[in-house]
Amino acid sequence: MKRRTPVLLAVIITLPLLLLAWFGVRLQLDQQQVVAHQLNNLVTSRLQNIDEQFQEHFFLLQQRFIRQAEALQQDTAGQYSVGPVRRFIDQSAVIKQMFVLSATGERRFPPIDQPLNQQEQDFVELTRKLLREPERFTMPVLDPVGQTAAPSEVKVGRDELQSAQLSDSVAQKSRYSADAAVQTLANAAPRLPDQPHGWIAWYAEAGLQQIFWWQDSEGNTVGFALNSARLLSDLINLLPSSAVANAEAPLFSDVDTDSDIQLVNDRGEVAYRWGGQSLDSAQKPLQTLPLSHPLASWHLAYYAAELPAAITGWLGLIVLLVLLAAGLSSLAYLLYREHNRELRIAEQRVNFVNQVSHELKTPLTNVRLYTEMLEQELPDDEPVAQRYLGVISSEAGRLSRLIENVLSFSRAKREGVSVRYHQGVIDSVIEQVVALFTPVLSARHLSIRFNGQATQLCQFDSEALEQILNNLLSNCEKYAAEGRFVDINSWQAEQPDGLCSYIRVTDFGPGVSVEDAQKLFEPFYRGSDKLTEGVSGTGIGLGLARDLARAHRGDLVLEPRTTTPLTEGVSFLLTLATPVNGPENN
Amino acid sequence: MKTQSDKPMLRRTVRTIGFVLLSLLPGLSQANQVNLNINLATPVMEADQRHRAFIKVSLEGFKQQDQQARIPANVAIVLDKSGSMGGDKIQYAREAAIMAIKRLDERDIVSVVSYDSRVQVVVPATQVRDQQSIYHAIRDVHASGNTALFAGVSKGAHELRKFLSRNKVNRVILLSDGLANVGPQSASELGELGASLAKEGISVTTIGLGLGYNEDLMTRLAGFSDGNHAFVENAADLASVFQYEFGDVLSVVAQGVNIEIHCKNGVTPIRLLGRESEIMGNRVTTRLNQLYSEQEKFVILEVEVPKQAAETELELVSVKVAYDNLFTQHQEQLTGQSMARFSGSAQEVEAARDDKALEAAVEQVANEYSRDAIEARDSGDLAGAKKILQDSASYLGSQAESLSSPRLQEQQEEALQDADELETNQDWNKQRKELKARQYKRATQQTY
Repeated sequence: MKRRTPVLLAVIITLPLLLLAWFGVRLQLDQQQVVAHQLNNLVTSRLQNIDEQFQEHFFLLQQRFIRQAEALQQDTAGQYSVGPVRRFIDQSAVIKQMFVLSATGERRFPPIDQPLNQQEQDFVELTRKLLREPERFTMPVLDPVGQTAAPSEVKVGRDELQSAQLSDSVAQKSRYSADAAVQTLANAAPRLPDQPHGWIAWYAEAGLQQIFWWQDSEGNTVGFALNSARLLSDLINLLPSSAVANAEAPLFSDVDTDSDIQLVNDRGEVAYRWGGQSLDSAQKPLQTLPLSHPLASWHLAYYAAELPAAITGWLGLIVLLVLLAAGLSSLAYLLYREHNRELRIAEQRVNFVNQVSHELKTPLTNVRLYTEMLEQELPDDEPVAQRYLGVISSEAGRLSRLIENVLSFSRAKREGVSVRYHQGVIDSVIEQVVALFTPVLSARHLSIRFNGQATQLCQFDSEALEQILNNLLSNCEKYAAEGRFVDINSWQAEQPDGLCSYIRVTDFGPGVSVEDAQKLFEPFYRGSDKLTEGVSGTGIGLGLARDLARAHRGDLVLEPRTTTPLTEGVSFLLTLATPVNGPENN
Repeated sequence: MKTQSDKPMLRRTVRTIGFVLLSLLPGLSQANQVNLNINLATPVMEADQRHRAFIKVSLEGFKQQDQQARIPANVAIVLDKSGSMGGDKIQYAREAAIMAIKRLDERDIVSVVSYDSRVQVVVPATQVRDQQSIYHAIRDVHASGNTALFAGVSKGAHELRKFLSRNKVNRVILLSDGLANVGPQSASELGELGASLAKEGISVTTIGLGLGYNEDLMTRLAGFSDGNHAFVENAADLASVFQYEFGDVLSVVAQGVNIEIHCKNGVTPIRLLGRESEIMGNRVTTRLNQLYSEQEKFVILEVEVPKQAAETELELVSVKVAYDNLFTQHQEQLTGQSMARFSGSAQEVEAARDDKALEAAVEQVANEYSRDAIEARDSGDLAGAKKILQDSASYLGSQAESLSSPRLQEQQEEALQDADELETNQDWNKQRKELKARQYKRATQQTY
């Protein structure tokens, strides 16, 4: 009992804690996944947004180039004469070089029949293969504003050559903004989709170079080769700069500081990075997004530090668990202390009763001694005195048994029950007890019917047996007075492990209910109120009796009534191991 | 200047000026006109002989009337704040930038961009009104990280574009002390960017600090956009360099100068000394981004002249110059030509020599030698490089004597010293930076 309570309390604490911890961890993990997912989506959309910005940039360039090409065509009456084209190249900051191919695939610019400057020579050298296959620029083209138009990537000839329209959603979107911005050129706009055009991305000079081509109304192909350094510079300018690392950061609060985004070129080099997070080079990007044509093979990489939100989530869970554990523990501690206090008080009571019993024992012994002496000395002709003395003697005996019970009980609690074997006859012990009880029981109009068949000489503890019988009989006296008879049967039987003695005590009182029968042997338990009303008792007798019987390697049980239903009452069967020879100590 | 060839030229100039005067608003003084001078180093050549001749085409900015009437500036200062700039360097750089900005006033636009691995816009393009807050922002720049030079220049140019105008002096001033290691890092890529910016009227001045930067990249970037370039070994000198630079910026009188030279009568162009140029057939074009008040900028064209009979006159080249006059805010044109006379008399040839033009030509030729020497040294040919420098020195020496020019003598000593230092082979890195900066300065007639 003493050890069970803390264990029970521990279970009460840990079970809810474990449950809560389990749910908390699961919830937290789920939450993290959700957050990570959301973050991923956010990052993706952010990167895609950048890609769209780039696409828009290309689309605006495309618009501009088409207008400029149309203007060139008009100015030179479709001849693309050298002077104006060179002037155009000189003035345009975004393009490096231009070329014009006639409908038959001949090169019109850079001119074949005129001296070329260094840049033009280099360019011709670089694009020799590209320009030799003019069919590249006549591939079927999808209308960039058509509903069904999808971004098309047509691979022609070598793998590194790609030509495609910009994805139509972007094209459509920026068309409006471009038109709104350049109203003066609205007359040129309606003809835009009519002419085939596209972007080519190709590798030259150890880098990706972009060419925009457009076919004019006469079948000439006009190509604009971008200045790649300038293109990168423009792209960088589309991207935000980093926050200034000082206290006055609120000025730049739109720039987030917990991430680092890198624009990586086709050679895998970082072309530009922004954000505020400084990170070690070994870290892997949280996400990468390849850019759309014509910047294919470039990509954006998003780096971020570990999520601080997740840590606070775990922290919250841990704090909650700790708080709960503390609460439950203190509650359990209070309960445990209360329980202990009660136990201590009970113990103090028992000790007190014990001591009182001890104190009572000596005077009682004297009372009994002198009563006996007086009985012997008293002449027989004084019946009244004899009778009074008899009552004194039996009451003193009862008190003595009570005290003996209390002392045995407390001794049993303290140091366990011990049994001392002596040789004797069971029946003679029973007869002594019966003789002792006869006057008491007859005062309650009860008579004992003793049928003794345990006559064999054997080893047993007569004091224990006496005490057991005393308890059983005094119960009969207290509770079964209306039954008129108490039957005691004793017999002996040879069992595999030696001789056993059996004693059955049966009364014909009101009996006990089934529920009471279960608890009858528990200390301090007394049967139903109806039964115990007006009857004194300590509630330790039966328990003590059973303990003694068990110490005697036997048992005391309440027998189920198999006798006729008319008769009520209780029947106890006492079993004792009573070996025939030699004292066996346990 | 009393040579015979001066006469037609003078005529020509006077005619041009008259034409321009007519075309301009009445009352505008001649002082607001860029001066074009075309000088043939050898106006009289020996007959019946092929010649190599140097033609000096020089432009001189007119005098700025007064400080109040100057052209507004639109300047982006791009500061390297990479880890190597730590300590004194960044401190000097900050103070130099602040000192320089002090020269600006409300008419001007300034922006400050700093870069390490990333780019920060320290001061977005703004009118120079609340100077204290600009200084405050600059003083908050601290050094750390890598060198994203390309992105820094890009963002600087981006800030300029917010107020980009042909009527302003648009300039990025880049300070760097290290190799670009984030983003594009080759000289050619930066050169391409510079060329593109030049087309928009933006020039980039590059200031290399210490011994860690890439001088090829820096001179290329400056060269393609016609900005200045300076090598500053000691950070303490930054302030004065910034002052010179801002002095230049604030004295610009003309921009977007296109020079087109046509060779005539069988004369063929060989090379244009000093500047990036385009030679196509008999046409040579080059451009200068800026002309400064009372400063002469010139190019030297080397041509080959075919044999001619004695006592003939020949027009060698005609020159067309177009530029934006910032003062009148008009585009203006100048034209000129160069005539040569052929004579059998060596004395006449000797007497007619234009010493000043020849001196300039020799200076540029020697400068080319010096470039060749760097190339030779780069390819590991120490002896070859030294030989080139020594040849250059002896060439300079003989010319200095015949022209009795102390300037060329000085350059000769420089070349000899360079050759010696090349020999010691110590600290080539520093010498190379010095050489590069000096060459650049000579080629572009930079004032500091």
